[in-house]
Amino acid sequence: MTETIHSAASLWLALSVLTIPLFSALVCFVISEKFAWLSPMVSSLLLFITFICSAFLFFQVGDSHALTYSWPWFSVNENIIRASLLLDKHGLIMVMVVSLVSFLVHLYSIGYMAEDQALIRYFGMLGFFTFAMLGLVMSSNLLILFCFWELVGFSSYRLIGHWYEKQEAAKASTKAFLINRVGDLGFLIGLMILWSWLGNLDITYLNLETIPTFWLTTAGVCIFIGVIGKSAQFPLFHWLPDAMEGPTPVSALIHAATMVAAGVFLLIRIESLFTENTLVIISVTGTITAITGAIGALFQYDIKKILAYSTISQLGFMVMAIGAGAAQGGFLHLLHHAFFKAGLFLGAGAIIHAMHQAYHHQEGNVDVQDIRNLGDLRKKIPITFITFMICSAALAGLPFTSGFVSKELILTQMNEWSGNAFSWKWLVILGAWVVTLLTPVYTFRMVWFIFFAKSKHNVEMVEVPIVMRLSMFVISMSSLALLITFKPFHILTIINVLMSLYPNTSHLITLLSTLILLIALVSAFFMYKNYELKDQNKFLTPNLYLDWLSDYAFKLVLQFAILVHWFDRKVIDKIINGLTYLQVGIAHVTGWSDRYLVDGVVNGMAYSAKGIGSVTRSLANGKIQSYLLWAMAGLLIFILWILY
Amino acid sequence: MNDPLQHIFESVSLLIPEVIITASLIITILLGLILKTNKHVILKTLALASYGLAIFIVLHHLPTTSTLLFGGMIRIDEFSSYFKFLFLTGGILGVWISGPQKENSSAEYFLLFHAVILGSCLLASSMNFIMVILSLELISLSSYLLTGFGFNKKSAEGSLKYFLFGTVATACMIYGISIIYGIAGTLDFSSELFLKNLIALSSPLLLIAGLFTLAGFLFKITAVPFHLWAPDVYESAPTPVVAFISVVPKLAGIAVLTKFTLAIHLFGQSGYNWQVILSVISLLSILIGNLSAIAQTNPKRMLAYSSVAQSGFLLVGLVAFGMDGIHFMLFYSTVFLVMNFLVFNALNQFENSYGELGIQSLAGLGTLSIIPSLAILIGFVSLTGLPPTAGFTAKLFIFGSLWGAYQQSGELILLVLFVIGLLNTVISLFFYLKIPYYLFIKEKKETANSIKSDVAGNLLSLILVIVLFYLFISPDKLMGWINKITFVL
Repeated sequence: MTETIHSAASLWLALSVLTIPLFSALVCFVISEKFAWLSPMVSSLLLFITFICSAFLFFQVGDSHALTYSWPWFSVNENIIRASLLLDKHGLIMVMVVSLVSFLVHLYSIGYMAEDQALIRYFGMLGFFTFAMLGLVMSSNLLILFCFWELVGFSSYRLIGHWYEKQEAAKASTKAFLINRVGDLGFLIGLMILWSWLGNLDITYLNLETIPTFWLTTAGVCIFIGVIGKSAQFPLFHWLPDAMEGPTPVSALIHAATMVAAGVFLLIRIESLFTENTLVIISVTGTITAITGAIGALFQYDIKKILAYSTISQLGFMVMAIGAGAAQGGFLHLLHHAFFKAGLFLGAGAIIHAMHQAYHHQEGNVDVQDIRNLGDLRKKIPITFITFMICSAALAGLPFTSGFVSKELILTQMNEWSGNAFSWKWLVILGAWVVTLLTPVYTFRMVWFIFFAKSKHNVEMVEVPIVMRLSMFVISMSSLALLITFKPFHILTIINVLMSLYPNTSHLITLLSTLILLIALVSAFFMYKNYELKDQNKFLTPNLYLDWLSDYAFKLVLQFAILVHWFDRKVIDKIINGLTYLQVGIAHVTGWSDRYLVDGVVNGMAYSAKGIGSVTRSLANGKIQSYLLWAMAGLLIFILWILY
Repeated sequence: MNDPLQHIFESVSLLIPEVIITASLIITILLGLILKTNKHVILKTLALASYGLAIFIVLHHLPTTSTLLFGGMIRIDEFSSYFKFLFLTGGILGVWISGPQKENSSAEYFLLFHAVILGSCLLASSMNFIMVILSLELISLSSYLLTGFGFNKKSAEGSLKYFLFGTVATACMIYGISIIYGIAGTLDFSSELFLKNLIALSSPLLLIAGLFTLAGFLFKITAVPFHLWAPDVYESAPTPVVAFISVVPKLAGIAVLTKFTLAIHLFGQSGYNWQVILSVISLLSILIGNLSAIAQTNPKRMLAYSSVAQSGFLLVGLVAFGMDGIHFMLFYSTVFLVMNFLVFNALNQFENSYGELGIQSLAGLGTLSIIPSLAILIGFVSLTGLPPTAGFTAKLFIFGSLWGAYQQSGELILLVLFVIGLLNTVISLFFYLKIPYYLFIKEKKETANSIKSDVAGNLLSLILVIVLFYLFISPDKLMGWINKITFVL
């Protein structure tokens, strides 16, 4: 009895968590222009409520067991597709993270977007995105998950192109959308393979034994292609740096904390689906992505692009971890990354905002996102500096930060996975170590040039509004390992659950990684101490030739499209035109026959009716004698007709 | 039977509606002699009051069993009571739309109305050929006179034509009846003797006699081939009279025709298929009526032919030869009464304002006299048999029963009648919508005066339109009443 009530309450909580952001979006879309200024407040409040609900939901379900709710949705050939919610440990933590980050981003946006002209659209899409993301996390059916997956992509497209007047933003949003479609195609094919073998796409009821290994591998790889698109893995990652054209809070929420992490989350959700071969592909792809992302981040000047490449690198790191048997660590890193990367983006946004405000009063056009134009900001905007530093420390993996904990876990688990004998796995591990070496370097470079290096420009700066500082503060605090791992609070379920994710890490690994970290930081310090940032290296172009490659691919596609177009115009159109002429001809014939045959028959009937009528009418000529004659004649005709 | 006088008294006590009409008739004569002024108003009121009272009594004393009166001359049953209700309603409507007459002819006018209604009531309930002839002649003679109430040459001519034609028809009928009497040895066509003797002698003589007898009834209902008088008479007679005689005597004729055909049909044991004969008559009536109506330029002549066609449709219900068919025929009769009066009332209003009319001269009057025009439109839509009017429902019912009869008997002629009847609905559109077309679409030629406002006429139109719509929306009330009627010969 208690159990059902408990479950029903959970269900209602889950549904309200799902629907409140949607409601927020609706409110934003129906609110009139006059009250547009209200929408930030209202939607932030609604998102706060969502977060509270998700926290309650988390405490209610706790780490006890996964809850599922399902309703029949529609049926295909007796296979009932069920719409279902899956509330398990991973999902609930993710729900909490998504709603918290979303709330903080909403709050932050109140300040950041204060002067924007399209507040309603912005907050509406933000709410809609949150709804879609939560739906993605909670859904238990892969088909529904795919629907939300698409919705997430759509809202990402809308938000990247929020300032669509800017050509770059419009282009970037289109690019992100198109590249994601390539991945989604793979996802869809994977789902079709699964459907044809299983007739069921519910994650909790996947009976994988019935699928031949080859098809299972193919399905896994296809779904992983979807992940590659969404989580910006090699080779489909170059949309993410471009997506930085969107508003910075959007980058924080979607392109750092949640949406891009959805791919990683999906990998964890359907971990059981992956065969060994799939896992190899996953881990290798992750490693390549992690290293290329880190290298890319080393040579960027745009503060947001650095963070974007860093995100690619970190996502690759997680994917690699999952592929290399460190799914637990990967998930933990996903959570931590969500916070510290969102914090970094919010900090970057704060820097941009503050710089923008400062330069607003000055002549000239300075790119405030370029780290070459920044420097010496630590005293001007101290709170932003502190929060940024904490998050950077987490990114670099300094001890006592969340990033350190999850990095250790991943490295330990991967170490166990690789075994003692030398194999290709060692290469993956080497890649992981390379990434742990490169990450502090580029982090240091970024922080150094923003906050410590001498500034070329000397401007008066003011701290960003309180709402922005508040959300930055909250988010950076959650990146501190102290708050997450501090034992005395373990009476709280949240700590318990999180603690269960932290197994003992190897001391050797800890030592080693700390050593590498130290080497990296020291070498970076000496490297960049007196370093003048010059124009970018010709060899290491920002997008690592991928733009060139994709341009080439696009050109190929374009050529093909031109060919198809030619074929369409010259052959198909000709045929269609021919058919049209034929149809017009037939129409003329039918029109003629209608006018002369059908109408003729009708007219003929009318005329003959009139003619017969004139005969029958002529009987009534006014002479009573003839009337009587005809009546009697009629009677006689009757008699004769009946008799004979 | 032991005491004939007693029996007659008892019989009279069951004939209160007829007694009321008779009393009213006598009072009308007396008042006509006594009154010097306001004759018309007083006599109109008297007529309306007596009809109203009679309707009340008919409805209040609906017979549940059939009772033979006057030694088998008359039978009071549900069937005849329903027809009495229709006649009296027709009487009220006819009197309602009757305009003031000349002072010295007012009494005679209403007197003849009374007589027609009295004759119709008796005809509907008569069970004996003598009674049939008497009441039919009462109707006929009164009608001849009524059609002459235009008091002009044309009207007199029409009246005379009506009289001559009617006399021949009656002569035929009496001739036929005399032969039947000779064969059957009885004039009571419901008696077993009648049945037995007719079955025993199945000779062509019986057919000839039957057809000659039919002639009188067909004349009354203006069915082919005894329809030829209708256009001339309708055209020349005063419009209220036309409205009246196109409904009440016709329905009386239908009532007696129903009885007669069921009698002569001999429960299917007749040597001749009267169903086929009636089908052919119905078919020809519909066809000739509609086709002749197309090219008419006088609205009343057109309505005369329309009336011929409507008789054909009424006969369709009879052709089905079943209780259902008779029920639907009763429904059709009711709707026919309403829609016919609706059209004639509006036409009467036009005539009162503009004088004698051709269809062309109605051009563009629709906007000037919106209520009669709308009434005439709705009336014609209903006569055509289109939704949303009761005319549609009635046609639907009656053709439904015909289809049922066809499926039962498989007679080809029924199918032909079915198809021709439906086709004629389309043909009838041509002429029925001609008047509304002239009223609403055509431009008017010269500046015409607005119609005289006629509150009573407009009120009547409104009521009749409401009834038409009501019977379309829920025919079940009326059908519920009609369905209770059991008709046994």
